[in-house]
Amino acid sequence: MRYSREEILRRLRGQIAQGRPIVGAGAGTGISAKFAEAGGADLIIVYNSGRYRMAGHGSLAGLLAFGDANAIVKEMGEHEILPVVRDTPVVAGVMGTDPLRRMEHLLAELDTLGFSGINNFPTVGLIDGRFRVELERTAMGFGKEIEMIHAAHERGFFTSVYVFNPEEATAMARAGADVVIAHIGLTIGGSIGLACEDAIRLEKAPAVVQSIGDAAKRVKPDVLLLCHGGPIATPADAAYVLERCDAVGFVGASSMERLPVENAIAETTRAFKSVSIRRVYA
Amino acid sequence: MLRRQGHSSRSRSDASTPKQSEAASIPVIARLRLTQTLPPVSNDGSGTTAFVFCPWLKRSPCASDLWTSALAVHDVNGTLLDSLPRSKGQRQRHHTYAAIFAVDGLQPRGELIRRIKDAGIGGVINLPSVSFLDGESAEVFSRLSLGIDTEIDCLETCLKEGLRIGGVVRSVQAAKRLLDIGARFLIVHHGPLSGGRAEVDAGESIAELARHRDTPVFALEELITRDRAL
Repeated sequence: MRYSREEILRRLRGQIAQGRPIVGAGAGTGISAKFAEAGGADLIIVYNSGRYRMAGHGSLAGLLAFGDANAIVKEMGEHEILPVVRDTPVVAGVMGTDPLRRMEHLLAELDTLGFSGINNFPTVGLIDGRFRVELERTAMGFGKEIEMIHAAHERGFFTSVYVFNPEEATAMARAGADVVIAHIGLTIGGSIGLACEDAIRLEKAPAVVQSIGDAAKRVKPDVLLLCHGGPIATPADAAYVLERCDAVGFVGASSMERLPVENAIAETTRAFKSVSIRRVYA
Repeated sequence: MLRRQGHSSRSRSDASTPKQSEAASIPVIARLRLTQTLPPVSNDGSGTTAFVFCPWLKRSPCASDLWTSALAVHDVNGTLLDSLPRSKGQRQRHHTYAAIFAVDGLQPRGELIRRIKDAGIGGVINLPSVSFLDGESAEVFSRLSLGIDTEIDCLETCLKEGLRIGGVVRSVQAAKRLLDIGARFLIVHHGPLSGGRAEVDAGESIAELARHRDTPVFALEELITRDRAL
């Protein structure tokens, strides 16, 4: 791995001490990673849904059998992201419930490639209903993700984990997670995001994030709390939440990659289209 | 009991259109088998037996793996394509249906259809299916165009390109739509755990709808139990 857990935590705590939030940026392409770093991101996070996102599909596609999630993150890391990121820890999103892999071997491969941290995505935390019950029953449940994070922690990786409720936060903190990211649903907005009315309201987000953070800190007081998703789609949304709870930062994936790209490309194209040409005679 | 026995009343002599003629000449499927390997042409079924070709099941040793095969542990369509013979002019396997992940927007549909047809395979079916998921997550998938309607759109495209279709369904609405567009058979499921009363009722309604269309219906649980040894 490129950076040790201790080095990463020292950097992150340094930011907090200066009153600055921790920002994690999801990167589906090398250029996203490069410019997230240029913008000051503290962590670059690579997962399979980033590839789908930048191919014009929703992030939720990362849960489905469009590809082997763990193989994709290895490939993205090795050939796109790690070669262009200069001085920022890169975190690998690992599908800890993959029954076709030995996690120790995968973690060793990610270590060799130069990843500094591990995250649990794709995550079954986004799945509910009887299908989720079946996943839990057949050893493909959230418990496998906890095991994977514990193994990563034991290996010396920095770990930042998505959790969806206080119980999961408690379990991940016990497993040694350095950062708990309160996931409050798919990010709204843009061409392929969730509709606003389908997400939790922004006003409710701080309480949800706080309850998750409280549960994690009861087990591991020095754990860092971040937030992600749902109605938190812009810097103003993040500011609103961070002012009202103990979260010390934000992880953006669609909000920091897809949405800016959609807006910037559309506006720039419009600007080029508005340029005048001289009259051409037939 | 969902499985239809015997031949269809579609085997009539008074069919007048080419489509009706084709339908009339093909016996109804009485038996369905899941298979991880492409059936040899000589064993492509008698017409009353159809095969569902799922090469991606090879890596999945457990019966429950069919349910979880909708998740990101593999590339269903990529594995299917890698398993198909590449040369054109393959002999026809009329009674084999390729199991495709019909909601996959990353795999060009035209290429998938072309390769399946070049392999001589006669049909497709949406297996695995996003209908395996339920709850709020399933609703979110649907709102993001990753639901059963998108799967059926894909099957409809395949149909227009000359492939027969089978359909994996959970809901009456989806079953109706598949029957309306001409599915040759349905595979019904209640999700991975035993269905509640509402879902048992839905299964019975689907069976009834299908009976009216002389379309056989099979239970996914029975196929999983019987055929996972293949």
